[in-house]
Amino acid sequence: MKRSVLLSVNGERREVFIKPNSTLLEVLRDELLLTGAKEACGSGECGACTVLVDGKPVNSCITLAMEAEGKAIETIEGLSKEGKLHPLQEAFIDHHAFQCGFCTPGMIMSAKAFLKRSPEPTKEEIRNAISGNICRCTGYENAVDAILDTAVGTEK
Amino acid sequence: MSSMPEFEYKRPETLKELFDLLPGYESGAAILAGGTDLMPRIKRGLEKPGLVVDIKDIEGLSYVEDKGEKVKIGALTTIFDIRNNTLIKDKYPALHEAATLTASENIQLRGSIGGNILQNTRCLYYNKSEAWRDSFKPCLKNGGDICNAAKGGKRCFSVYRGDLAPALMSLGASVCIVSENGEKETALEDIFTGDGVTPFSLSRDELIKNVIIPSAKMKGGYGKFRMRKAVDYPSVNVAISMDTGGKGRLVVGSVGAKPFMYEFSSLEELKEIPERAYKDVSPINNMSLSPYYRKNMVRVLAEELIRRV
Repeated sequence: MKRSVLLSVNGERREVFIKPNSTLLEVLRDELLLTGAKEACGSGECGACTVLVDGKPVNSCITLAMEAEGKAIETIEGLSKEGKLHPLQEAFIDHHAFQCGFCTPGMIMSAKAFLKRSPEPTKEEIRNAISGNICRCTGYENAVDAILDTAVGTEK
Repeated sequence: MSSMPEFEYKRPETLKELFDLLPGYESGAAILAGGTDLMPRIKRGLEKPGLVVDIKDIEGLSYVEDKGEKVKIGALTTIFDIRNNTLIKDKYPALHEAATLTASENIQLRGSIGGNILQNTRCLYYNKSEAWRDSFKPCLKNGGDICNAAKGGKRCFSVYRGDLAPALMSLGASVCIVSENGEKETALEDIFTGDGVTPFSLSRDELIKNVIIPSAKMKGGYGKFRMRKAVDYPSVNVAISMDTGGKGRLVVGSVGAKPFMYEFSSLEELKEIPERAYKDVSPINNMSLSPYYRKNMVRVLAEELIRRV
């Protein structure tokens, strides 16, 4: 049976009317029209659907929307502020860190959570942190450089 | 429109509330922690619970505590926290390495030790979409009476592919199982039935509360053979732990419905185990890699790990 659920998405309170079996990804994309997070494998393997819940990365395709009730949900749409891109987004552009772009929102969200817990990472740590974000264009190297650059400021 | 069958969802805050909820749904209730194993199963119609009980809000189930003679790890402790725990890194290298090699960092942040131990067995002919499975007759694990992987097979050969359990078994770990009727401590190896259809002896109204490891500084390690470097189940995994006197266990996983455990009391005995394990295991054609290759990799991986530790 459908019920009313209050979600906090990118700092805004949003009321949705959903069934308990709705995944967080379905609610974000189909109810709230936040289509940044993508569905690919649908089973938590590829990371294209990664969003942050209370600052931690989750695969939203295998997370129930109800699990996120009362928690802070952050999606790629919430990163830019007042028309200004987030440093990670800027760095991904500067480094040409995407090709088809399908994995990019998930990868950037994983990177954001990662830089918060490891502000001064090595390349190897970055590779580990985004190991759950699969890129079929195999553009990993540029993404790793973009994340490293964000961590150390704008040094090239 | 959801991709999942319908169910109710509850988020109890205490164990008492949890146990009050479970009986009303009998076998139809599923306990949800990180959900990295359960949710894909529900999405593929392998699990059809009437109720999903999310236990993440239950207080006091996430900790690593040194209790003198024992180290206790709460069931909701994430794989990431286990990997980064200095006590575990120092005392239990096999467990530290197993946690480090589990899935990806994001899944380690989500998955719990309790859920990882109770990860269901897998088979190439079972962990598929409903549409895919419909092209075969239902197998033993899916309510039928045949095995699609081993033609003519009378039992289920699905494979237990958990990362943490072999490492924990090598350390002589036990689990505290809690139900409405109280708590009991069971050796970890005893919760495995060896039957692929119902791989664990726990009933639906029981929960792992914590994992208990004898307190001793152990030498050891964990070897994982997998197709992808990240986000992959082991195709063969081996864990070794031994005390300062050279006594310990070697455990081989991912070659049957439960891990194979070998005890040794000297280095000489340990060195004989890879050959014994090679002879004992008989994987069948139910993974991407051939049974012959996997059988050989048991010996290779075990010998490599012995050399390393």
